[in-house]
Amino acid sequence: MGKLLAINNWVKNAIVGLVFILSYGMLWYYRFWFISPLSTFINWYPNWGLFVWWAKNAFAFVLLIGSLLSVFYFWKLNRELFSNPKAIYIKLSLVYFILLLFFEGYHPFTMVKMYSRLDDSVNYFYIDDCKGVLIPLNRITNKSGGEISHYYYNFSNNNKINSLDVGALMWQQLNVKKVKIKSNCMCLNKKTIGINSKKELLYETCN
Amino acid sequence: MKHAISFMKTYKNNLYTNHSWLIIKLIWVWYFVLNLINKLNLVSNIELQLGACKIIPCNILLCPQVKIIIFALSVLLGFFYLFEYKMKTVIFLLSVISVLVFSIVDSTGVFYRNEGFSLIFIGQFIAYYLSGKKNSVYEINKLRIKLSMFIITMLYFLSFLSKITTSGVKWFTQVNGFANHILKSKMYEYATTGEIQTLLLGQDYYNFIIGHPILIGLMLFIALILEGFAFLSNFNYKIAFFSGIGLMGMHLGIYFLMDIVIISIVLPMILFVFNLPAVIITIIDMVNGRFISVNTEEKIN
Repeated sequence: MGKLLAINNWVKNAIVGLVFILSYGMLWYYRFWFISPLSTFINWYPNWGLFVWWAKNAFAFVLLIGSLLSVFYFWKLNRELFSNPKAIYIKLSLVYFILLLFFEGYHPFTMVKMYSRLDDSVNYFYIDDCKGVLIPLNRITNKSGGEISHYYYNFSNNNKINSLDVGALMWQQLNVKKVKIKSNCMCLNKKTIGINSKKELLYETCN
Repeated sequence: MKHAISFMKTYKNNLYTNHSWLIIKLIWVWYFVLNLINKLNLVSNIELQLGACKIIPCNILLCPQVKIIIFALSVLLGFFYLFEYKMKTVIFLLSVISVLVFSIVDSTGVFYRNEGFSLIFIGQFIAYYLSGKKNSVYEINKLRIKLSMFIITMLYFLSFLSKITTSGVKWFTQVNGFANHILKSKMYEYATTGEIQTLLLGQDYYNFIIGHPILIGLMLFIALILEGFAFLSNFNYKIAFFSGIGLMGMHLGIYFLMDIVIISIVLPMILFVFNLPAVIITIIDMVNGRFISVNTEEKIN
């Protein structure tokens, strides 16, 4: 035990780091499995659903405690380093990064994913009269083309929203004004530019 | 050369003065308050429960009476912030309002990237808290600006990190993808205004980018380096000054090519990293002959 306590600080830090990576990594990698409700577990494991659900809850709890304890020990091991006034930046970075690991996507925790993926094909959205004549957004709504794309990606990536409802929800958010249009119909379209160019109708409405 | 050295010395002297802090406060808090009012005013219903709205029923906050209370409170806190009245409490409340309102705005489905506002207020709250403690080693006039700068540079670093982790170091070589994104931005503008010139301009930009892959790759590489190394600004005021110029150039390029300005990052970068108020005061000092000579640290005149 004495030998264990006397080991180099770097080794201790490495062990603590490993515990954190393993426990947090498992929590993150199997996050969808961990957050699945009891009903889903009963579907997956008809005879053992309840038992597996409780077991995974206990396992998730152990992993969570493991990751939090490793952060605590890391702090304790490096107390001397953190007592320097200039270490305020390191402390704040650490706190933010750790919170980011658990709460990414919760404002204000963000990875600032701005154009981190420059895909060869991209989508844009527009409204036309369903016969191919563009209706400029500034005539019918106070939303812009960029804002529509945000609606599309955030609604499509939300697992609580049915993919068939995305177009209707986007239309609802646009709060479109009534304007006179020859065809009496308006279509919200998605067009892909790049390798696989294609057009997709997301929502159609007629007076 | 002597003038440049004098300029930098005078600039360093002006970084944390009350005058530059006053200008920073004026621009920062009033832009924040007006932006907050404008964004919240446009929200009528929320489709997604994101951020704080996962815990708090945000729909209650959307009724007109509550909105008016939030508007009035933020204006009042804006004045208190400006006059430095009960700063710790005021900044704490501004942080809470910022997190709450921008969580509501994000919950509409459009991400305006307002994290910079909330994080800087949180950073300034920490600065006031730490420097207000008994026997504190921190000076508030420096820490409030340094922590704000640190937060902004951290956001740039995170943006760099997300590019590296998502696309790898070859991110800057994806010129075709970049050209498509430029074209897409112009398509958005075309969908908004219906002006055919925008479409033609987008096509011109697209052709130019595809035709000059080395030049564009180099520009993307510089942008990546600027983001990744912006945190060095925290170590030296000269790095902060030149990094600020580089980042402003980058944002100007993004604006011209893509019509995108992420104001919650650009504005604090100009105010806290480049420290525009200090630059303006330095120019005024230089014009009036109040500069710091090369050989001395004392202000002449």
